[in-house]
Amino acid sequence: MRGAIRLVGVGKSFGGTEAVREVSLDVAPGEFVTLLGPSGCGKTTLLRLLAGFETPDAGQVLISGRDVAGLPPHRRPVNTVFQHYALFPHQDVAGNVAFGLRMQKRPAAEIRDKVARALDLVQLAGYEARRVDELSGGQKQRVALARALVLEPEVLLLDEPLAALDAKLRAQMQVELKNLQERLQMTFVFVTHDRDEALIMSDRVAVMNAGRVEQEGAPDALYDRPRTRFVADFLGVRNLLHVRVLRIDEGLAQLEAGRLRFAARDDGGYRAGAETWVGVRPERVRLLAEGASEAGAEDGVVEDEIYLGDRTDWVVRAAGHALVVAESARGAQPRGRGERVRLLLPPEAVLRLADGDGV
Amino acid sequence: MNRRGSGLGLFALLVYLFLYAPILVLAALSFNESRSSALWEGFTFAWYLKLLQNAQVMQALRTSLIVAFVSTVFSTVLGTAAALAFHRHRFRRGAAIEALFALPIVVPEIVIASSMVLLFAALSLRLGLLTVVLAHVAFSISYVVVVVRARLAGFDRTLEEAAMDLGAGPWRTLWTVTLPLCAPAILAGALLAFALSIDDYVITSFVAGVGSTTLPLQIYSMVRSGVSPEINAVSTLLLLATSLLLLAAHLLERGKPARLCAAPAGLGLALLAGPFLIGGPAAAAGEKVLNLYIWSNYIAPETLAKFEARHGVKVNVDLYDSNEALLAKLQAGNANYDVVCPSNYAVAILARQELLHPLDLTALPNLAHVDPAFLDRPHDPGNRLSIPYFWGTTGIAYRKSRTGPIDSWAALWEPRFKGRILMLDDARETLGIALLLSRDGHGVNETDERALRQAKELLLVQKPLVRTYNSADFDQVLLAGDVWLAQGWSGQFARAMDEDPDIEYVVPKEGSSFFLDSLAIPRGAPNPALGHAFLDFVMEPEIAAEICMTMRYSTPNRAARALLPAAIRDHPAIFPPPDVMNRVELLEDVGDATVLYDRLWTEVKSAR
Ligand SMILES: Nc1ncnc2c1ncn2[C@@H]1O[C@H](COP(=O)(O)OP(=O)(O)O)[C@@H](O)[C@H]1O
Ligand SMILES: [Mg+2]
Repeated sequence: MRGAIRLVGVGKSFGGTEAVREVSLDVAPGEFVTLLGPSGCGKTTLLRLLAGFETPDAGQVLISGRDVAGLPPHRRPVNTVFQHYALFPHQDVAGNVAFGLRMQKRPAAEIRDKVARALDLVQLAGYEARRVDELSGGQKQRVALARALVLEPEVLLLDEPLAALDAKLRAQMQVELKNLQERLQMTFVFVTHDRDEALIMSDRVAVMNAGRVEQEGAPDALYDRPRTRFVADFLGVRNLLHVRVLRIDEGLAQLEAGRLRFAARDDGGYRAGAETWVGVRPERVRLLAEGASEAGAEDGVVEDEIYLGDRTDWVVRAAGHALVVAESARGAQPRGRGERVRLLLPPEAVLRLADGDGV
Repeated sequence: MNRRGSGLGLFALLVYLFLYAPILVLAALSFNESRSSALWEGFTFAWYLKLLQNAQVMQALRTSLIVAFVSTVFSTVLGTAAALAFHRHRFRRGAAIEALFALPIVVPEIVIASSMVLLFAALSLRLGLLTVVLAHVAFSISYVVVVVRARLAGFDRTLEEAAMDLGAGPWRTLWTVTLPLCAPAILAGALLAFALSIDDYVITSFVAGVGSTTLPLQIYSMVRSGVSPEINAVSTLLLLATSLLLLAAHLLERGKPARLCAAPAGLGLALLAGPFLIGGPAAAAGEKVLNLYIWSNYIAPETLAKFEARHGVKVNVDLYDSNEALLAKLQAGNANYDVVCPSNYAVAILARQELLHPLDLTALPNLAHVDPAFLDRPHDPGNRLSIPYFWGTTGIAYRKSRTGPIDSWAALWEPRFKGRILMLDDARETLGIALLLSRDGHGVNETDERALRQAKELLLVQKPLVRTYNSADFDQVLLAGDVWLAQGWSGQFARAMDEDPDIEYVVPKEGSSFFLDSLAIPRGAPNPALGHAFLDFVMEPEIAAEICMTMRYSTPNRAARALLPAAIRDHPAIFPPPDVMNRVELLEDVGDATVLYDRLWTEVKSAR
């Protein structure tokens, strides 16, 4: 059980705002779990509940199988990498990393040894005597990491640790951090508002919305099958349509959104006559030349082009809807605004979604 | 640097100059061979050497430093603790409570001073070192709280959380993170507290008692006889020491290695420790002590040493600079003095309030040597409460090469001396001469309102001619050549005449006032018997002569006068001839009219 986390119906409010509501989550030892969600959805609060800086109003928090209610932060077997690092400005790099060991009153030789190894781990060997305000953002980040890792906690909590880094360094740190976690076999609870970061690094992602965990799962499962409109939207399903189910036949649900008609593979959740939300990823919509006679294709007009280097997003107006279609750079043909095209929504690309907060 | 930058730089330079010019002048003058501040006569360390030999100044410096160190330690600890409490816990109505902490900063010092005296009296705490330290702690705490609080307001709380996260409990978080990060602010608060304590005059003058004359009290009382270069010297040393400490604090704050900070810190502390190393005779445990509360420059240490030797006691001297300070101290009723030195009108006030111990004249055989002209005066009929100690006249001292001979108060109204006239800053003395000049034959103790109003009008007429009203160092202003005629007291002018033969002193023909300072024993004095012994001691002819020789004030002791050298015995300012004595009148307590005097004098001074 060492390194396992169990949250049962945890809630926390500040005055009128419910920052965390009825969150239940299980994390296995050695797992890399990411809390993903927009700013203000309660990620930091959840992390602080784990670290012991906040006490829950409701529910239970178990770390390594033990209920930690009433346990102050300095007695919990977790360590935190803070969002803005929170390095001690009055101590040098070695002093920062050694802080926790000193609190445990370890012998000086052991401290020196462990600090050296921790700095080695984050590739900062030789920086022992540097003042922290002389470090770059990436280096500070590494010191914060080393400072927490050196105590070999059962669980490491990381609050948007990469948010302040530039894109290149960030990509590099994502890989390093993931490798490190795999090597140490340590439980990581990682917080980010960056979808790609969450998908790249995690074993499991919990998407949070307004204090709740809306959906959790492995990155690929989550990506392939978002279950709610919010999660779909957050994971880049740009085409969200409110539809009415016309009928269901031969495993296909016939849908209608205004004048737009298309079919979806029936997953058993559609009911004739009911209304629901569906989503289609831009890269799953197919774009055909004008006059192509594919069954179920709709006529459309190119309204806008968004060039993104490795791909191009087209905004196409069809049957009164503005739909986004992505084409990879290789497949893309030059098209002008106002050009007539046809587009096709393949039934297997249509995702049935629960509405927002409803789940 | 761009043009705007250099303009700002120039501005900053001017501001610094404005701030520091007086200090630089003071420091420079402490090396001036001349006593007067007007002339530079060459470089000398003489004042510093003299300072080292001035036991009273050194004792005052020691007292100041002890008070400052102790009160700084306490106010810093308490103030920091209070600031931390506000930081950690949000109190209900916290803002209001915090505002209360800042209150002593904005409340007038005099209000704090008088309320503290009342508090100490209510607690029947003897005024002394303890009450001074308590008062200093009380007023510096606010500053420490405000400074540390400002630092904590900008404090990144996640640093404390990081410490807890890494295994530090609340106390260790405080010690390892919060306090070190606030150290610059705490140090700044401590330095501020130290500076405030070293500087404070108003509050200290109220709550000081036996053995707690601090440097500012000493300096204020010395200023009565002129700003001496010794004062400049002691101020310069103090300034140097505090600058070094500030430099050390600054270096520390910048994160410089301790080695580098140690040098200025050590030097600064060594300078401050100096007075302790030079040492002074401290009262041995169990030794009998006479507590004397007196004006500065009123008795020489040698004279006191004789008394100490003869009676096997230690004399503790504390100083004041106005009768009002003395009255306040005795009225508070917990001052602990054995002998005090009120002027005659203050004796009358103290007598009315029964604050003086009746004298046993049989224990004062030397009273027989005192000139009967000074005995049995209205302020103390039969000398049941006080004996005369010093006296002096009020007159005009003038620079004869500029003015020619002067014999009338009217000279101070002559337009040809416009801008060259100095008047005392004193209601009784100024209105007094205006009364003498009026044709209706009023005296200096007049209480009739109409006469006093006329006197005021006369002073208003004179005002455009007056360069300054000054009763502290009027002799120095005259010596410096800034004025040609000065109203003032004979003792200080006698010393000025020794320095500059161009200066002459006259008691004008219209008459004048004279003052009489007495020695008395306060009611409740710890050792009245020793007090009597001291009173009798100073009336011994040899001793009285010695006091007159060293202090240059006129002695009322007839037998002593005979023992003085001719130069002093016949000095026209110290011992005026009998015809002069016939036209001077003692300033008496005017009772309820005091208020009128003060109001009219305020009107004169505030008139345009
Ligand atoms: N100490 C606090 N006092 C009051 N409101 C808070 C406090 N901490 C967080 N909140 C509120 O709780 C909500 C969730 O905040 P937070 O957990 O910081 O979100 P996230 O980290 O996902 O951006 C926000 O609405 C925030 O304003
Ligand atoms: Mg956050």
